[in-house]
Amino acid sequence: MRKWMFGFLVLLLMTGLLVGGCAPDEEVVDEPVDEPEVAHPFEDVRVRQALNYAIDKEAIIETIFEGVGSPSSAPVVPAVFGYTQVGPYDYDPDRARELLAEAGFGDGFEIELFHPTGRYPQDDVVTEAVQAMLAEVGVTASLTTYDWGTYLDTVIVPPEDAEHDAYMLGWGTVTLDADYGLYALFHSSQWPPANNVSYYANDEVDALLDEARVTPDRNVREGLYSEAISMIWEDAPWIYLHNEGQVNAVREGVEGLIHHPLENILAWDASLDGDEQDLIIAIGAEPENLDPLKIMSAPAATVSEHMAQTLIYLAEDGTLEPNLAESWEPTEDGLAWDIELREGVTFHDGEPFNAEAVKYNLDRFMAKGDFEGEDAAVFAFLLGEVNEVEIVDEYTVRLHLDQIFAPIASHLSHSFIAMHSPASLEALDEGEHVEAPVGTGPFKFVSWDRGEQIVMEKNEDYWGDIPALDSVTFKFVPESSSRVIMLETGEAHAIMAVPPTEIERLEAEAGIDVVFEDSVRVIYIGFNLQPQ
Amino acid sequence: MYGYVIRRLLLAIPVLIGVSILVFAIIRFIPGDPARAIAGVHASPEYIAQVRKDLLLDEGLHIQYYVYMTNLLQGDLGRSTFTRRPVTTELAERFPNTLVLASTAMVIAIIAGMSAGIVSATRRYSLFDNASMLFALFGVAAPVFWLGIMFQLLFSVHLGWLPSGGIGTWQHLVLPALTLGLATTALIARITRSSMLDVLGQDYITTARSKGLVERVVVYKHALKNALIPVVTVMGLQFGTLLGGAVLTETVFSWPGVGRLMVDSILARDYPVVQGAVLLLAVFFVMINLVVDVIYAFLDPRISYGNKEVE
Repeated sequence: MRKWMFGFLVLLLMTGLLVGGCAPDEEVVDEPVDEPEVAHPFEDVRVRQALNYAIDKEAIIETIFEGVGSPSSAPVVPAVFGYTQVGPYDYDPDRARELLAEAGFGDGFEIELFHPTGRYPQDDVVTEAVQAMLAEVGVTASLTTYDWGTYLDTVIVPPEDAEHDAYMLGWGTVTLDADYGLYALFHSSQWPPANNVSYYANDEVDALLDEARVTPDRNVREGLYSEAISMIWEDAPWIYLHNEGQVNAVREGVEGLIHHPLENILAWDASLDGDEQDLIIAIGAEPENLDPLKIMSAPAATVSEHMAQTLIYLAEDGTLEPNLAESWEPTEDGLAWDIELREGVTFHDGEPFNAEAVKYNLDRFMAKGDFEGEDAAVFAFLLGEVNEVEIVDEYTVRLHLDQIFAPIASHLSHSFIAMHSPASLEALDEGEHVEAPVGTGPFKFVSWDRGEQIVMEKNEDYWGDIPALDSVTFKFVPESSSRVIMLETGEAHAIMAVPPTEIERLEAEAGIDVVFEDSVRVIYIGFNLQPQ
Repeated sequence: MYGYVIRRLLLAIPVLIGVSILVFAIIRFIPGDPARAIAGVHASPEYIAQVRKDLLLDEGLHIQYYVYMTNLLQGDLGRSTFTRRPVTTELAERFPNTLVLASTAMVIAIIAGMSAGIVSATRRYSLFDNASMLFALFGVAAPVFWLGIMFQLLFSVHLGWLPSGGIGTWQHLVLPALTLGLATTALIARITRSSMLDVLGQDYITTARSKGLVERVVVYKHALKNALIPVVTVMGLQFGTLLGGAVLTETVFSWPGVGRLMVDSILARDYPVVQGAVLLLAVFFVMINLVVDVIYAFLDPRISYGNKEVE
């Protein structure tokens, strides 16, 4: 009988594992907060700025992240189109106390600070550091920890349901276009259930963001974002913490790897010393699948991009470059975009790449046209403004928009909107999704051993520069110290996501280069600007 | 004997139903909206709605359970919300790898553990006894995770004898199997030793010795079989533990088994796969226990199976 009980215990433990962490870390203090006559402290911009001055961002990066990452200098990271440097807020506790006193909160106040655990690197440790630094200027923050799933449901709520005064979140501007990083988080139309979790509302910022959406000229857009960023920075709806960093490591003798801020490592220009040209890269997580409909993660994007390509390529410096599209221009009224396609490109199965293939892929992605009524892609919102894809001629498509939407080119560059051979997509069984991509890329799919690796080989008929490498293998090694060991033994030529604690050791080792790159994600503590 | 086995199989059914309810409940216990948790922070409301629909979250609990059980009985565990592949396919690919790893670890543990235990018992308080029991203490205490990394550093980085991870040749199996099996080896060694000492002190052994039997016959023919009963119990339970312990070992050594699948799925909030994997391991655990109980019958005919007299 005890054995059955043991079995149940195992199950109960599993259950505990899943729902664990949802209990609040600390008791919620129910004592009435000493509320001054004036409104909630966060309604005063001086208080919000003061709390920005109170946090030592450098110290957080140095001590918690071993120097990886950088203090936020804007609400988006530098690689994003539209970024302007407006910060960081210096660490100046005296200034913070001054501002608090000016605002009438010289004696401090108490807040409820909610944060997730296990979502962002060291998220709980960072929040604790923030708590300690806030205490230095007289602000007592009670922390409440949530498991990620519960957390989103707790903080992304209408103002009347919010129980928190402040919350921690991160946001990656994955299109590298400021629209994606600013509109979603600061436009007043984007309050929960969308992602403006601070309930920030500033008419001037709204106007700038709206205008930037409908302005095709990139220089003008850049100016608009720059202005919006300055305002958002001054308004301080967040405590701007840091830009996450990523660390890769590469063995000597590997040339030409691209370390992309979108947490990608790209190998089409790479080569190895010596005769053997078979590159092995160890990454932490396995792609979920390689179908534009269901693809969701950075590791999947990394692998996919080698085989299936986008119309427009988003380079590591944030510029948009021709890829399968040679050019893209809005029509005069801005309500449509004409996309000229590259000629003479074939998919790995020999099928031609043309306007028809593009329409097929985009319609499938958006669940429009022939795919009306089917499930749209997880990331279909990227093309939310597109209502029709028209074939103009064999190598031109026209995207018709519901309204003018300038960031469309950035969105089209997203690696999840990759072109697959329509024949290969049609061959999928009901309910099946792409696991062996047939694209136009520099590498062709060879095999996928689940839990182990994906292997691809050189595409001899590639339309661009034919790769020097004969093959590229992505190995999935979840444990970061095991990845480091693989690099040391030579079982891998390059690894992604080196753990901070191993950086110093690897840097000291001969024959290994450690590569630092900012990621696109900012981490912040948002204020609840609509306290009830 | 057959009657007993059939009765035990029938008794397993309510246990498995209990397991299925518990596993079913896992996903529903999560506070908040599991669809939101699965879809993530960037997800659009449309996609969250789609996930809700896929998981039938808008239906009543009884309907959800009915659909879940109906599918389960047809061998359909649903689709992974992450990879979009059938859960049964995922498990079928991974489970053999876990079995190979756990079985190898078990074989190592049985051979090494029992030998050490027997020798220790027959040479009580000798240098070998003390050394192997010290080693056993270390084996039980060493965390799998730490041990795995130490093995990697020693055998892969410094000596370069064995691959540090992955699957393929027998060399890939050595380090993870040793890592996984060490604690069990130690446990079996200790249990065998104490059980042997216990049996060797009993009257019938004294009788056997006084009959003038050679010590080898006394130890291996008369003592060992009786001493094995607690050892077999431990082996049965340990095999279940090994399947669970494989979670860590498989992660350290990038071994594509069910344990790692479970970790990946928990991280990705892929509840259908977590459910399937827990169910699979639970069923397997129940089966192992059954096998252990049947082995008792072979080892010790005195163990009563309830209605033996009637048969």
